[in-house]
Amino acid sequence: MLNFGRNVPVLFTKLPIIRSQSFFNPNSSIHLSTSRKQIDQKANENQEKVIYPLQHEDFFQVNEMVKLEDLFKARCYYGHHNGLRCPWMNEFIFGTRINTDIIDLEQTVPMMKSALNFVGHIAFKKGVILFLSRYAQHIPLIEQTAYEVGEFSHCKPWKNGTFTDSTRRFGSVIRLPDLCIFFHTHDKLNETHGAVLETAKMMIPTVAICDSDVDPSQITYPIPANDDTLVSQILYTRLIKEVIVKAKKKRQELEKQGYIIKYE
Amino acid sequence: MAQSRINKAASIFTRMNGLIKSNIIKENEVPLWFDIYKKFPPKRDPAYRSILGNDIVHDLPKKLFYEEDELRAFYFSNVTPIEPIVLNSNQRKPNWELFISTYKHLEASGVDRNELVDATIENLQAQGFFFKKKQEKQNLIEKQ
Repeated sequence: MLNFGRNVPVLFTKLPIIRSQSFFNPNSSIHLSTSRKQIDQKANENQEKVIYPLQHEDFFQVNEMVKLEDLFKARCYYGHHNGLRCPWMNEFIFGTRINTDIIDLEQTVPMMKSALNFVGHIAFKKGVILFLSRYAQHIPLIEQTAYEVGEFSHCKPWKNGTFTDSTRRFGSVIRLPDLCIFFHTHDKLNETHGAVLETAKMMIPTVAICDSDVDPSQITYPIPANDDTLVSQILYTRLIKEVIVKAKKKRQELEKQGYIIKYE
Repeated sequence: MAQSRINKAASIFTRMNGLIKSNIIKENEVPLWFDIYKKFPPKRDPAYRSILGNDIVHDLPKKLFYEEDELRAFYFSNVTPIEPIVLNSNQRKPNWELFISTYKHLEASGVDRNELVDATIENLQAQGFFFKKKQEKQNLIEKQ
């Protein structure tokens, strides 16, 4: 029997490797040197006027805004009763104290920072932002913040098909929001808001505050924190308002100075 | 604009990425959030999952206990009336926290362990707190 399987790869490895290809290659560094120099010169001329927001790690200084002490004082660590817990929230819970869940705030801080950074970038790109909630005590606060920021809010009862069947509902083609922020993801008791499903269908990203009884799997940027108390709700609205106002102001100043903004 | 509405198949990013790769959505029609999501992705890919599926559910969280829980249990079972909590401010401490702090202070000073509870109640009554033992009530009923 001949062992071709063993011999063949040895033959190929012993073949001499052609290393002189680089001399004949038209794409070598010697031939491209002139064109590269021209590109570098152009970049140097426009270096002052072009800005790339995505290349900054923290463009809106979000890391300074979110502090663990503020979250702790605003009672963001309270969860619901043990039996109401959604099993997907197990990883964000620190422990259960006398049958009530307590949320791990050390995990919420980085997730909140990433969510606020996303909100800031969308406001910087002049996207439409929608605030959503169905919790009766927080509705005036949320509507007022949306009014102050210059964005939109929908706190009335949700009718199925406002996003998916919008042309028939409103009589003409309308622009859907670019980002939905949920301050409370329940519509009625233990019933998820209808917009959570419709945003996932229409490919709209979402930022939501998820308590221990909320399913966070379809939400793009979930923030595990308490969503039932007014003190904590004031903190979330304040942070989101600060980010959006900062982003819009930054955009205006850069456009006045004549910068060209590029998202690449 | 072309789009897929099957939200249970994959997350919004993977669906949009597939449409862009296959040239159904052109460069002008790419939504605002796509570049930002690509640079700063979330912790987990936001795809649909159900408990009946193959996705792994995280372990159950632990139960929290403290050393002072025995004292609290003693307080709530034996001392009446229990003070209502003031939710407006964080500045005022409830009665049982003072009970625990004085207990620890006396323990450090060197009082016998059997007399510690009575000593703390006497100490707080001297400061002006009103305590009423449940045991005394029960004893009174038994005597009648």
